[in-house]
Amino acid sequence: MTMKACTAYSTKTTVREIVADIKKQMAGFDARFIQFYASSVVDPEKISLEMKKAFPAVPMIGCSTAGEIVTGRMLDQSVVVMAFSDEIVENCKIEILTGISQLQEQVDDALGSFGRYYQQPMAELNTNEYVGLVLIDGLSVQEERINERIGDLTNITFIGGSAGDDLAFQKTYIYVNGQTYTDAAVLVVIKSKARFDVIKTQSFCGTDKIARITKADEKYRKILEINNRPALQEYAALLGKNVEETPNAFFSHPLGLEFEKDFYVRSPQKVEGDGIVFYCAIKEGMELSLLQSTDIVTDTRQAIETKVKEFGEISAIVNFNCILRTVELKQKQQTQAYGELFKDTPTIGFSTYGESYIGHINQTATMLVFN
Amino acid sequence: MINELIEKKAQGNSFQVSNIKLKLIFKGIIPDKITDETEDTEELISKIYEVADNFNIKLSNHKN
Repeated sequence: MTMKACTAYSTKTTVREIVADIKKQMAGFDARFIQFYASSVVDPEKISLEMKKAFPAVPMIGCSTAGEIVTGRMLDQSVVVMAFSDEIVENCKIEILTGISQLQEQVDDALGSFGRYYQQPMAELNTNEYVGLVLIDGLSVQEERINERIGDLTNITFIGGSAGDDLAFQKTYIYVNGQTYTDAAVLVVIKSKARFDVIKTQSFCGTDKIARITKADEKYRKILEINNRPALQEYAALLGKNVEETPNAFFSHPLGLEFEKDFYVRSPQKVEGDGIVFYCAIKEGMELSLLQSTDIVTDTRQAIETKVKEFGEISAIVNFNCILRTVELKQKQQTQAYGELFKDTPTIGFSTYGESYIGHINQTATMLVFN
Repeated sequence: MINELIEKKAQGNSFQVSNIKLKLIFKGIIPDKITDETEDTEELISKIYEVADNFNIKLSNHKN
């Protein structure tokens, strides 16, 4: 095989069968780096261990999911795998961050280690040659801090997502070289031989309704006041609905931070008193637009086509797709159509509990694409 | 000051300017709303210095 990337998936029931199935599909491919994403129904300790046993010499990361994506398909209760060849990976280095809920210096330490490995400070790495992946425990509520600190210390692109557990919201897992972690994040810096770029797509358009965050409890991602009024009442007013109906409209009408004609989505999760808890933090003083949902399949197709025109042929896609998008696709019976958007390109991904790209964002697909 | 911060962090890479502005926005600083006419409040100045420290960047008028 001369492919830059190889994908495999398995829906078999036992870990031993899954790994054997995957190994068979990837036979003959000279992998330099592997990432795998596994449904939470798959035993976390065993899948990490057995994957490493199957590919002992290959640096490997992964995490638990809320649904999986592989070339041409959206899946559930599966394991999906992508390996990069040396046509993409010239070099790679993995760092695990543990105990992130007590996050102190782990990001600094990890980036320091990358700098020593590549013999260049992370702040000076060539942004066209190096790219980072980041997977974070999806229940840790640490995504903002981790992404922000990464962005402080380097200009290279880090892209990724938060691990899921099929909407159980109990425990998510990070996998690194045969080990299994919770309350953890993994960072990878790849020195890439192939040109790479990012697709960020969210299916919303703006409205003329503005929500200025006037009181927030950032640590708990809770908005207390919008436009100097209790958050729930004002959200309802912006929507033109009553307070009781408002939570039902969260899904289709999140808030968006507008920057250079693009939106960075902040999604409401639930009502708490007069406040609203979001899936990511919003700072006091921020002005956000009330958004209106559009069609995910149409918008994603367009985003991919635009990137292909601008970038040329795409040889691999890593898709971190928000679970809220997956839920909507399922409700609209569009999962097959979404999966088929990726049928012509080796693709891997999963349904995340949050997406990472410069910051922590929601209801978005962040994709790393290689030429 | 905000322009110096962005320029130093971007290291001459114009493509990075947008990314850095976005990083600042996530930190609660809206660069495009800061103009020559913007009042230099203590809160804004200290926020910019704090970000410069986090970026490990020395601003030319930074006293420390």
